[in-house]
Amino acid sequence: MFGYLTADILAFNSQQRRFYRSFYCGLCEKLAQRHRPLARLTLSYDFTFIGMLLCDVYQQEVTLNKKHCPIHPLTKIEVRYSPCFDFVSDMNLLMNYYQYLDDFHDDHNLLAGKKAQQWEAEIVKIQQQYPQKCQVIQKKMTLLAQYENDNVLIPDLPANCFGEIMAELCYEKQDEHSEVLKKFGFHLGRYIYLLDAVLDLKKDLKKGHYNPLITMDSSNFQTMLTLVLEEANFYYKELKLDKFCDLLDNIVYTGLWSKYDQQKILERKSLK
Amino acid sequence: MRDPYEVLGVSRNASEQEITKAYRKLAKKYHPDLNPNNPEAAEKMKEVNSAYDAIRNGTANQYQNSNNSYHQNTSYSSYYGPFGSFYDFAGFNQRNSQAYTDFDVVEHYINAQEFQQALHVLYGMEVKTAKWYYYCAICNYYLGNQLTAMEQIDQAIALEPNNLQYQQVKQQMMNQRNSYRDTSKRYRRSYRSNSSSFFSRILLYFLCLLCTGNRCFFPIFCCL
Repeated sequence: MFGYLTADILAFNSQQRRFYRSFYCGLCEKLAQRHRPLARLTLSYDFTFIGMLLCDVYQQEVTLNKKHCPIHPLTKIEVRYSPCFDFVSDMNLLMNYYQYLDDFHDDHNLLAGKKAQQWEAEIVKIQQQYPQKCQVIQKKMTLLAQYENDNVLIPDLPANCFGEIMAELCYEKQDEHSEVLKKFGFHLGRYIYLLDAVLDLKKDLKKGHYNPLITMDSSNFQTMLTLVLEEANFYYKELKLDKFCDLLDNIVYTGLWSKYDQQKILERKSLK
Repeated sequence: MRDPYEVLGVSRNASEQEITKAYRKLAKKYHPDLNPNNPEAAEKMKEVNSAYDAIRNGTANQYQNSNNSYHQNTSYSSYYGPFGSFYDFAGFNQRNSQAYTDFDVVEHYINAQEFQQALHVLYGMEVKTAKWYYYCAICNYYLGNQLTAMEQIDQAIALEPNNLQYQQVKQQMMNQRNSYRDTSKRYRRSYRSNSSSFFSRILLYFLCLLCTGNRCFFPIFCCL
């Protein structure tokens, strides 16, 4: 489920690109600080988006450092983060852990199993810090697995389930912004889940894997995805973003479609 | 309709796993996405879907039946903003019917905004007419099952294509909100050039980076 909340970087000017990259590096730094340096490997742009979103909504102060990066040793890089990145890095690790467990159980991927094992101590710490949140996420992940096991072909059910997981990831605690963040996260989660199902449909059909969209008419997919984003947008507008509005707008209005567009282009090429 | 077990090619004692496996095997063979422009495959797929649905009716309904534990307290309507007024337009506020029918009960629940209850009555009904799909669509829409709602309103329209009310409700569902489409069009138009393909854009991206000396997002160019 990772890799969909990214920006259309070609649409950024150089300053925006620098900012976007610096937040990505900021999350990387936080992962290493709060957990272990190895946590850097779980880094993704998806959680960078959530970090920037929360930073903007709560108008947090951004810390800027210029430092050497272990993976890019020659030049100093800009590293930006804000207080909410602590929470975001925890959620990043948590979701990666669940992904590893999923891969281990579904595909019997032993490497994923090993990876999950090595993070267990950190996950326990995170679960102690956010007990209710982690309980909800765990419950919904179990429900998702159940839907998959029972071959539920009503797409709303698993989509709503994943939406609730995403909703939990988009707010830290109850406050004046959390309700709107939760609702935005819910619809975003629905979109991500459905987009993943749309893009994997042919592959899942060929491999006999679970896909909730098997009985749907694929000519409706783009409309379906757009309507989900309409709901998400209703709450996105309520968040009244300010400092990073342009970066986040790019992701929401263009970047979210990147993988979909790419697949369409490849399909058109293969038909020629 | 043919015997559903025969359509799927499974015995009456087959386990759920076996039925699912058989269904997926047939889906791989006949799905329209893997057989484009093949109306026979599309027809066959419909038959397979109906057969699977029929066999699973006992278990498939558990996900739709509001008494089932999966569905208790799972109305997602709290995640949706204020709904438009098609609920009034749909004429539910006028109850002229003299005869007591199941649809009267459904309308009563819809009027009282008890959509879960209305669905419970609907899913207990045997015959699925256009009106049935229409009421289901409305209930599911308000419960936050928007995809199911869209599918059901489409089915209502397919069964009664001349029914304007169904068409209008579908339009309202589609256009309840359209600010995303408006904003997104502006973005995508200004940043997408008409002739550029995915691969040429990637090439252009690397050229831009080399010229401006910006950091690349791909690790291979970490030293630039």
